[in-house]
Amino acid sequence: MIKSPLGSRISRIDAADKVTGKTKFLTDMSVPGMVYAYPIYSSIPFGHITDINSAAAESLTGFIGFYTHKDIPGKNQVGVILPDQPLLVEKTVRFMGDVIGVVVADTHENARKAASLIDISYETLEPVFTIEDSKNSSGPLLHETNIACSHRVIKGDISKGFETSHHIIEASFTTPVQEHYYLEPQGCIVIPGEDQIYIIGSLQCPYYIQKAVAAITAYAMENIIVEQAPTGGAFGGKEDVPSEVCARTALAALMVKRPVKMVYDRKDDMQITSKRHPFQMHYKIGVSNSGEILAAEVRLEENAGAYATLSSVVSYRASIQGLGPYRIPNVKMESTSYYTNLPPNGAFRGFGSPQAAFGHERMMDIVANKLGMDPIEFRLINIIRSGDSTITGQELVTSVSAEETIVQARDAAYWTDIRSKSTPDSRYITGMGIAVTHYGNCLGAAGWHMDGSGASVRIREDGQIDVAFGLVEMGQGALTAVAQMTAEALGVDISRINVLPTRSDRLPDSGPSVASRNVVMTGRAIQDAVSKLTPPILKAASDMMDFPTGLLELKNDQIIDGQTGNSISFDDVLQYMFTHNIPTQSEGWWHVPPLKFDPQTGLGEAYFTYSYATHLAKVRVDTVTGLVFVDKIWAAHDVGKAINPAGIEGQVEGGIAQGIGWALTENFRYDQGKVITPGLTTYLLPTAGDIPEIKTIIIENPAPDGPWGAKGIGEPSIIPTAAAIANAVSHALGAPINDLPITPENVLNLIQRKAP
Amino acid sequence: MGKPLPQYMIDIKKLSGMIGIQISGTEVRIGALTSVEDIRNNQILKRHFASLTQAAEQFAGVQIRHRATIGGNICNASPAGDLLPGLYAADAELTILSKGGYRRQSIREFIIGPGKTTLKPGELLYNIHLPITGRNSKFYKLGLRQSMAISVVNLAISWESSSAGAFHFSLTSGSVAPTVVYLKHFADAVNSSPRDLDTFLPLIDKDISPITDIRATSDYRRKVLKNIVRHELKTILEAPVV
Ligand SMILES: Cc1cc2nc3c(=O)[nH]c(=O)nc-3n(C[C@H](O)[C@H](O)[C@H](O)COP(=O)(O)OP(=O)(O)OC[C@H]3O[C@@H](n4cnc5c(N)ncnc54)[C@H](O)[C@@H]3O)c2cc1C
Repeated sequence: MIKSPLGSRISRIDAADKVTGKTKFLTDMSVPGMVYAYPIYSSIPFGHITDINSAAAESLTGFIGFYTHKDIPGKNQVGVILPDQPLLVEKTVRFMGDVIGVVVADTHENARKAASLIDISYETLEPVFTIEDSKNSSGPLLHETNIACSHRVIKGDISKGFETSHHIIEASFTTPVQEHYYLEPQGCIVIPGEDQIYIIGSLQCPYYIQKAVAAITAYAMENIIVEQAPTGGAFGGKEDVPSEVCARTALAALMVKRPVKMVYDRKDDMQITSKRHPFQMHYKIGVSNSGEILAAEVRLEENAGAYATLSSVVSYRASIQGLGPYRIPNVKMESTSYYTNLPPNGAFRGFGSPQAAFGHERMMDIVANKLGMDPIEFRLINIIRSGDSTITGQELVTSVSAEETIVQARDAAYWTDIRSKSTPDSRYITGMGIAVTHYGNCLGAAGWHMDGSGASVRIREDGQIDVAFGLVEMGQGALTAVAQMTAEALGVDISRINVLPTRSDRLPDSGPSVASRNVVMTGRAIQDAVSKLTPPILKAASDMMDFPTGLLELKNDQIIDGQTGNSISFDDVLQYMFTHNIPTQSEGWWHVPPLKFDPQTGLGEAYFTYSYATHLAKVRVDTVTGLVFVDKIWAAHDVGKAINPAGIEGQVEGGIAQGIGWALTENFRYDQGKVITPGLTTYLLPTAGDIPEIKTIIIENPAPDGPWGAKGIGEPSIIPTAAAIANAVSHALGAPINDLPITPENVLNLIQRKAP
Repeated sequence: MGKPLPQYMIDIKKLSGMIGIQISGTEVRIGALTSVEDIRNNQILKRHFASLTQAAEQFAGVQIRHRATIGGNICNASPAGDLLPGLYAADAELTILSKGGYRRQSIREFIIGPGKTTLKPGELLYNIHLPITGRNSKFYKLGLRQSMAISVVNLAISWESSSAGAFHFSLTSGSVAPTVVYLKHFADAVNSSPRDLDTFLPLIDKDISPITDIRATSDYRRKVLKNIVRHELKTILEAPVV
């Protein structure tokens, strides 16, 4: 038996099946009578459809059907927040990748081939690709306006703040698109039944899909059953996008009255689906001679792409976190998303946080430099501590560990020694950089209405325990954490726990597995469920042992009498419960505590708690080629409580790898709206050889609202990385890196411009 | 969706007579189906043609190195092929097999453009011949990540090791022109006056015609190749004479 009290390092319970190939992913699945669908999408970035000719496709052997918006029985709308996005284009295509119809054929290959034979004619419109073009466009707007959404935070009086400042420093920054590149592209199978539609897919939120498919098909929501297949990575890319994929497949399945499978090829997945928003940012900071930040004026601008999708979540979060975990009395923060004729950008690990972190943490270094201060010394003057307020005026009292992450990372890295050292080798210049960030857990004030999740626990007669949860495993280790937390809550061994695949009819709408909310939400829901289950168990034990329940405790698979030390086994009590027909299952729920927040001013409680992180990066810049090598990263994370320290390290290392890719090699690019980096030979994800030694430092400062004090780690792990690397390269070069990615060409230009 | 498939395909990768590395008289002979991994680990090549083993070392990743053959790298005729600069620098000759017998051609005549060779239908690249000359060589690859990277620029340098002072450098570079090129103008100048290396660097532009593609701009390729040549030659020139 694997003993696994909370907080011990255990291997992932899904690891063996995954590494041996036993796990069946969506692409491995098929059902009898299944046929295949493929999307047909716009080949131009902006315009009106004038004609659709499917004759050539229809004469292809294996062709079964071709369906457009005209075939939709319900409402042609999939916008997750704003109703601005049709499932299938009616007239106007707004990006290369806007889906116009679905073809069904006998094989995946034939469906894809038929899709390529559908001939669409357009009347083209003048597209806009950049934020500036979107703002200044004199041509037709994408929607009623080119602004998708905006958020702001207005605190104190910035003109006074700047007046009293000794120095006012300004700088601008840009960050690029990032592609999720989940291992497994988008896909699902839809099985239409008499009055039910069953869907299995690679996804992050079954409930979104339930809603979307119900609206498209005009079925009752309860009659749409959505199950999550084992999912090969998501990173936010499978939050809202699978709603489209599943709804298109469901339409096809209803039309052909057979099970239909649709899996996007990678190239098409990259052209159609959402990515990380590129940001352009302008910071203006006022400081005193002693290094106190007195005022900040910030403009964040996000390229939303063609539809709003989750832009408002990104824009909101960026506005809240856009000045980092610092005390700043006077603030004007504006965050605006602009529509452009690019694939819609949406959720991606951090929801705008890595972009905003690049802005505020580069800015902190620029200001420290101007003041002639060490970057850490400057940050420590302004860092938020318990009792301080955030820029939104939210007073933070518990689990505020920003400072501790800085201090621990600094000391582990011998910051002062290494940073001041000159390089022995003339070819390579070394640099050290820091970035400090905070991350509001869960959906925050803007998404509070939907920030609840459930779990159910059912003890079986054989002593095994089935747990269902409303969130999902997508590669991050949720199954293991859920098993650990259930075992801990019940006081039984983890080998009893069997976590069920997530399915929409097992629990009420628990929202999406995003915003680092899984451990927090599910952990609290498990505690709630168990709190309803323990009293009958103890009651049964007390009946058996003839002892008051108040002194009994469930621990180590035993019910122990605290006074005499007598015990009775969990299994014996279960037998008693089953013979006496006492129910052994319960459902638990947790909703994030109320948040007082004013969206007009952006003031108030933005999130119920925050995770803090500091990354220190040591880099080497090759002066011959301009290449940047990351030598080591120290990553200090306050996680409240580490449910599984090995799992935390996995998340931190993965987040850093993804952050390194975004900072250095990935470099996603379009040409006139067409993806020109559509695969791994051109879109350079970092390889194992590009990932340095990572020293993870876990800090546990419990959050009273988290389960056992735990806070989220999934996204905090990527947020500071790119900023720390950019600060390190700027330090090495003595020249500012204010744009990502850091390409060898730009670095070499900076070096040669500086050379005498 | 790629090229149409031919009616028949033959997998030649297991023809054992075309796999292996041997010394034969005054040359080293490499079978066209020898894997890049075998080239990487071969002691004969390490001793006589270090640029080839170094290129193999930096080639793709471990799985690809076991599948990829030297013959495939040559017949692919990619401007960025990593084994090619070393083969050019070694004045490699190829034997080509067909029903009618063998023909022999130097690699620089065999490769005629990006993806283009003199190979005719019915012909097979059979052997690669490298004359043993006693010259030193080394290889440099600039890729945008640590493995699985297509070269932005690559470079092989060979030089005389015996006579101190007279290096007789030969430089070949890939990814800077439609095929691998000899940096002849620069090499001639530097061989006549090695200490003035810096002043001759602009001559490199005479032999290259890099393009801007998804990996780099032509401007960067020009700049970085000069930096690399300068650094590598200085390292050789400044090494203590043995
Ligand atoms: C992921 C990946 C990474 C790569 N990384 C690198 C790299 O770092 N550096 C690099 O240089 N290349 C790289 N390549 C390219 C490629 O793998 C190499 O060029 C390899 O050497 C090709 O060898 P092969 O045996 O696989 O040839 P194949 O791909 O099987 O053949 C290539 C062509 O040559 C023909 N051909 C092959 N052998 C013969 C023969 N004996 N006679 C006649 N015709 C023949 C084939 O018909 C075909 O047209 C990479 C490729 C991939 C997929």
